[in-house]
Amino acid sequence: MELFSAQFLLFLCAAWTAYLVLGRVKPGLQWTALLAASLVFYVVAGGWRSLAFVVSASAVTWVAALALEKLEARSKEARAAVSDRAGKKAVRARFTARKRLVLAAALIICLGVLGYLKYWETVLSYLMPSATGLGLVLPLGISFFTFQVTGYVIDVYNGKEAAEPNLAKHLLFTAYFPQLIQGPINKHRTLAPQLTAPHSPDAHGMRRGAVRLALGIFKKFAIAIMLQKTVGEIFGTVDEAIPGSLVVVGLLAYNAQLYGDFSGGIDMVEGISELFGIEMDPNFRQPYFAVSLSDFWQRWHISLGAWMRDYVFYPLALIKPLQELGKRAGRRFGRHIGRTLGACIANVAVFLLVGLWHGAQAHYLVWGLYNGVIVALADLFAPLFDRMAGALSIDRASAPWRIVSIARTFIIVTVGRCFDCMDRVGDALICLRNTCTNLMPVPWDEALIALGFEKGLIPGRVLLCIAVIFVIDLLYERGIDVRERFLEFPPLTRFAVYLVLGFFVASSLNHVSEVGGGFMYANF
Amino acid sequence: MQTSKLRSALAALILIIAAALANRGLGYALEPYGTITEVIWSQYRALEPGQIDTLCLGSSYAHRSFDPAALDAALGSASFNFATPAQSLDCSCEAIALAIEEHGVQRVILGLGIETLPQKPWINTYITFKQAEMADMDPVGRLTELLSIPLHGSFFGSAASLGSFFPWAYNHVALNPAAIMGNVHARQTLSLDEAAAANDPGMIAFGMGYCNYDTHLPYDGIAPSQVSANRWDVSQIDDGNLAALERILALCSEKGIELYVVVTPRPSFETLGYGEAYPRNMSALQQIVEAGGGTYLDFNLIHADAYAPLDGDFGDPEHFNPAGAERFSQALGALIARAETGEDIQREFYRYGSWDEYLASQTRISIVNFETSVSGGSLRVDATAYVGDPAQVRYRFSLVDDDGTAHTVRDWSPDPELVLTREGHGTCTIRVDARNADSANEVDRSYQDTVLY
Repeated sequence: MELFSAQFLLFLCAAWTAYLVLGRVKPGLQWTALLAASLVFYVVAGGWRSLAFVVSASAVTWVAALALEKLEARSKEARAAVSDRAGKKAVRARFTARKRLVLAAALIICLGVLGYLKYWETVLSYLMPSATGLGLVLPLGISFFTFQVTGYVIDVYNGKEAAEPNLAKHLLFTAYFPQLIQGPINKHRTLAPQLTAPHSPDAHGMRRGAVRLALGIFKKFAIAIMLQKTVGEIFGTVDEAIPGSLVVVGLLAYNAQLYGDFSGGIDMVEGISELFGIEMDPNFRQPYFAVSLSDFWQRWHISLGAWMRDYVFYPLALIKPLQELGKRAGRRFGRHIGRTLGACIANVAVFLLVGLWHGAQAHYLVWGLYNGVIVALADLFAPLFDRMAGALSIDRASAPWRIVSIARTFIIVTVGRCFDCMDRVGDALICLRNTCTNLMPVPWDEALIALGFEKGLIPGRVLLCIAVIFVIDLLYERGIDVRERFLEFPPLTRFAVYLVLGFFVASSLNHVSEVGGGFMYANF
Repeated sequence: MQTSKLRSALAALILIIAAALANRGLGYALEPYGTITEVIWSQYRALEPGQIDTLCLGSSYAHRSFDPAALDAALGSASFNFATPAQSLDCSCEAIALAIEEHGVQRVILGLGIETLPQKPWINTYITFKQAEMADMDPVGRLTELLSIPLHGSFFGSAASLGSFFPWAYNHVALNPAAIMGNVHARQTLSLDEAAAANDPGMIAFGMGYCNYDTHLPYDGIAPSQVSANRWDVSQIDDGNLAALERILALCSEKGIELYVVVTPRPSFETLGYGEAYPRNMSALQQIVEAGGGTYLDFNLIHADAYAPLDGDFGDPEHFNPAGAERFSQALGALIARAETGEDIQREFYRYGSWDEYLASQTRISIVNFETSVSGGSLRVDATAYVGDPAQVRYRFSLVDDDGTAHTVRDWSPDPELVLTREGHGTCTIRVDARNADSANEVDRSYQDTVLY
């Protein structure tokens, strides 16, 4: 079931009607309509097998969270019964060990299932290249819901979150249908209370949701779908003959395609969620206006970045060996190195993990390493860059420097994309090399004909749509709430805008027949 | 408050009607007037009740294979070619039911290829078929048919379901003012047949649903990307297509109609390109057809003494030209006539179980082509000759100058691979000639392409 389909539209209408009716008749049980809709969606879109996985993950984390909370309560009671400090410490240590055991068990089960289904096949192919595949199929959205529920358990362990006593409510948090396809990875404290709270129809909120949904459809269809075939053909069969100019065009197109697909898909699901009065965690914030790579990663796939920061980066950066290493480096290379070295190493590890989250293939790991190393080096050499800026009298707050920074970040991100969009590291390296050594070997039109692109690469109307999205993002970047402004337009103007957007979306539908309407991040 | 709500509802209704009108207007301007499918439907509607007893159906494979006049001359039938471009099997099923009801047809010839069952129905041609079908329906029937499209099992869960409300998105004239104005003008001034002739000047309409193009397949210029096996994934049968085929079999069986499922002939490189997948997939299809009471005939596997298409019979890799369709339809009609006298005609065909016998019969090189890759400063050329026994093929590689002069790089040898050392980057034109070791010809087939290195 694709999001843009009659099947989903009918499903959505039914779910929405049930939600509103139940909200009026029995507000306290309104959330059960969402739960039922989510389970139906999961079965229709992913099958019974997928449902089994999401229910299992939910059950395991529900039990674990309750056990953690119970252990904490018993720990408090036991500590209260002991009068001396050493005794309290011993009790705490005993219960902490038990809590760790529970947490480890929950994480091993959830991440173990994810790891087995997602990586075992690839690992086997490396270990035994001639072995036939196991035919493991990833259940829909497993990477997203696994991270979401493990984050919840870790928060309960850390005492940042109260355990949910109701299994059905916890299942709704895990399986809430808009988030299932490609996230975002929501925090329990922001999403769960909204899911179970009664909502009455809010016309303005629904209009905002509808605008977001429309914008998402526009990004996905008028841009991403239209570029999919071109990108596939450019990078489908790479060899040393590929002109660097074609690589540049391909990477620019891939940037636009990925943004249109992922952020468009997120806009669609966030818009759908807003129709129910529920706001999910943000996942994008005008990423191509980032002034550095670390800034980019705070704007792109924000929910994954936040998960990695909270559950991998901080715990890793604060472990004793890294702290020690930082101290030693500080004594030898100065205070800045001492303070940042641990964080830099943690950053490299985090980005390697982000790469691994995308897949176990080598190109994802190289892509993660590339990002991690650049972020780490930028931190490590920050004082040097400061001094250089001072020596060159660069005003880093000025608009021109901001533009240069945005362009520089875009180039760094685009180079990294090379490892993301190609299945083989060797192909990515060939492409990068040819952008330097073989940019334009023969006239452009001659090269296109030899490569089978007689009809050109990117239609002009796609460039127009990209320009529209650029302007919208620019307005958001300048603090303008575009959706709110749009809703202030006269109805006829809004209607005209919807018609024009609709024309661009409809005229892309023929391409959907060729390339399919699925989302790129649904495969993760 | 009530008035305000009423106003909003009214405004929304007006906007919806305006959007629907805009959509209809776009359809009028952009959807091409005078498609082949429209022409075929209009010819079908012009038939007198009971005028035909044989119905030919299928996609373009069938449409450009069955010449009703030639078939009727050999079979003594009165046939109509109701095949349309990319016709899905459920559309074929609908057409059969209609022809049984309106004409009492006694014989159905369903033409297909190895790709027919694996390929999901295409929304663009499905809509065209449905629109042509709806043309003479009353508004209620039309609305019912229109709503059935998004609910169709193959489209319901995909974007095509919503897209079906915007048919112009799938089928449209070139998006430039001249083409759009021309289409609108044609709607206002031309008949369907005139518009079809104007749209597609190469198309020859022969009547009884049949039209074709008088083109000839250039055997020395078939690139790897033009070989069907490199374009279509045939690894899995589509459930919807299988169900539709079973419905066709059940319908014909129930009504006592002779059903012939005919795999239409194609140049042998098309069959050979699929390798072992061809006998594997097609024997499964044969079992389904025969279990359902149909007669299965794969004309790619017919013995050469019973029928053998000529090189000049094909208009492109997948279709006959008129001369080829005429010869094939005569042979088909004659064979069906023999079958209907009780003769066992299956002995005229190679069996999928003895695939080697078929391969041994394919001694002529159908085509040759090549692919290139560049690695370590070397340009590697991999030639492929489509023939039953590739070991008998000899290859010659040449570089071709801008003026067309060919310089042999490596003379005749059985090695299909060549590695050329190139300095820097650029383009070059390569030619590969192929001949059988015992061929009397200097060259059997050639292929030339300009490649980047």
